[in-house]
Amino acid sequence: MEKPEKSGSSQQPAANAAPAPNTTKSHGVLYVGVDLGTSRTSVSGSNGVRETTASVVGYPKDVVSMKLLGRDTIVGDEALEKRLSLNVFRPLEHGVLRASENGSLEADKKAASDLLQHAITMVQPRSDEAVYAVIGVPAQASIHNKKALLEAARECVDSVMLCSEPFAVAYGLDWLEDVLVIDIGAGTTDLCRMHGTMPEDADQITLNYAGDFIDEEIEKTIRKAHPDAQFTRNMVKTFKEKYASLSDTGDRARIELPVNGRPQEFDLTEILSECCRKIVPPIVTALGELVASFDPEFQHRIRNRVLLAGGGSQIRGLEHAIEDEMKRTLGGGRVVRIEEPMYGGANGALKIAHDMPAEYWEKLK
Amino acid sequence: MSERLRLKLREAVRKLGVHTTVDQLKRKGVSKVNVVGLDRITALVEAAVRRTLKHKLMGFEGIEVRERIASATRNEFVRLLESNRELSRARDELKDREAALETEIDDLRRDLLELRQAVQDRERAVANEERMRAEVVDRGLLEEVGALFRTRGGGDIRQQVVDLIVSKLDTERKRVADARLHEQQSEVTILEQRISKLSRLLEQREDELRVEANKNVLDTGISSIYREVQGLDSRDVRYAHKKALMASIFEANLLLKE
Repeated sequence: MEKPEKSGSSQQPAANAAPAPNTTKSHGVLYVGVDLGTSRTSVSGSNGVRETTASVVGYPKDVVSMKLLGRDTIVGDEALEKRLSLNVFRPLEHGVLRASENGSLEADKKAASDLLQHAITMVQPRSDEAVYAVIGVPAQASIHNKKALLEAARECVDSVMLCSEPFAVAYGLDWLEDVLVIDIGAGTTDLCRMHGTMPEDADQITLNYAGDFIDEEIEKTIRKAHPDAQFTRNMVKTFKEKYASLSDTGDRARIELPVNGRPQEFDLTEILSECCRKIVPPIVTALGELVASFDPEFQHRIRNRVLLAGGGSQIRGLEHAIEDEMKRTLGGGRVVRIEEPMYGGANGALKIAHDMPAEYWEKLK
Repeated sequence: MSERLRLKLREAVRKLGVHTTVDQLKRKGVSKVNVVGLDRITALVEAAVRRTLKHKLMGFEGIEVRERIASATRNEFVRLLESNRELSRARDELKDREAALETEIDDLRRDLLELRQAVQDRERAVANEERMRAEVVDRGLLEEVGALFRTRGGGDIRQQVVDLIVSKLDTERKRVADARLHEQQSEVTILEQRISKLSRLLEQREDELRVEANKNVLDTGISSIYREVQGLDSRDVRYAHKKALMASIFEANLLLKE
């Protein structure tokens, strides 16, 4: 929202505004909110652009693939499509930078930097506009990882800040008090208790029961039930995202998988449902811990203001399954799923970027 | 909303669409789709714009002021739509020009390489020819002179004649070699001039390509809606609360920077 004190159209700079230190970026200010997830990265910009892509970076395996692809770096969904010609990196694990398989952090740092640069490029910034970005990170990211992310981000934006991802989700919806955010991603599920101030360590719990856990369970269960079926983890992820449901009213999950090279149809509805349900008890247990350690006068309130966010929240019926489990173990509760799970974090980070005072951005340049 | 704006909006929404077929969707695993008509989308955007304008214009006194602002907003919207089309066209032209220049540069480089190779091959061939011709002539002459003296006899005279002939041969050979060298030098000079001209042309094209690539006239980015830094709205009922939250986030990031 424009500040009301400014006169005239927002297209004209205010007379008393401080001149931009870099005179070549005088066209305006582009705010960017970034949700850097293990599986997907989403961005929202103050120019109306919103995009999401896979958190994957690929580099051509050899000179031949480099010639074919025409570039030395491929990022996002395109890297997944062309992964057979690429050395593929997933630079984020559990939402933070990880060491690569050969133990070197440098390769993943470069991949994270390329991923961030691509994320900013997706917003299509103008070269004559300052770019101020807020990046949501998991609640319990280490200082080391935060510094590495900031270092990578400073190469492609003018000023950058990090904030807690679940906090960003709540801020974006203006739910700042007595609310509990459950952000279900691929690598982690973050629970964050909001009570009017910045959440502290005691207000946040991170679980590894998230999207990747569900994929692993589905893969194990299918292999046990149908040992001849041929499939990859990537295929599991795809049909999980399409059919995952905890309610009885959805479509049956009839999926074709090759068996000795011939496609065969399998009804995986129960397997998908059973595996998705496995994350509910640990989530509600963690939820219970945060409720129990809250001010007793407001425990009832926070139990009835649970906000479900993240890509994992798209599992149909998950909010009702969590409510049922809360009723069984915590005496009841109400769970609301945000309207835009893929962009909730990015939208919230964008709002924080917008509300951040000018002097703070200047000091962090 | 005026008919003109409605038509432009329809066109803009249509251009955002992606063509596909039912078979393609089936191949991707899509068996059911929800269909929303273009008119419905246009009507939704229209309603959203009207609602936003109404909300933004609340607090402005006078119908005239509101009408003026609404009209200015509509015109700006149409201008943005049209400028977006212009930008796309200009961007495509720029890309075509760059591609054409790059192709021309590749062709010039290839010609240059071929010319240099031709010069080197020619010099080598000429040197070989000369050497082989000289060997043949020398062998022939020596045989003839030897034969002559075998029939007429004489030790010293034979040697003198041989020396004389060899020196004559050397003189003649040098004269011929100089003439050939002069001829080849002319050809080499012409080829080198061609090489020099092509090199200059290549540099010129590369400069043009650099200029095209660096042209700042066209920025394909999308403008932010903000021309300056915003910050919190002081009318927000939670202004103080949010201000404290922003300060906390800033302090945490300042610590990370240090």
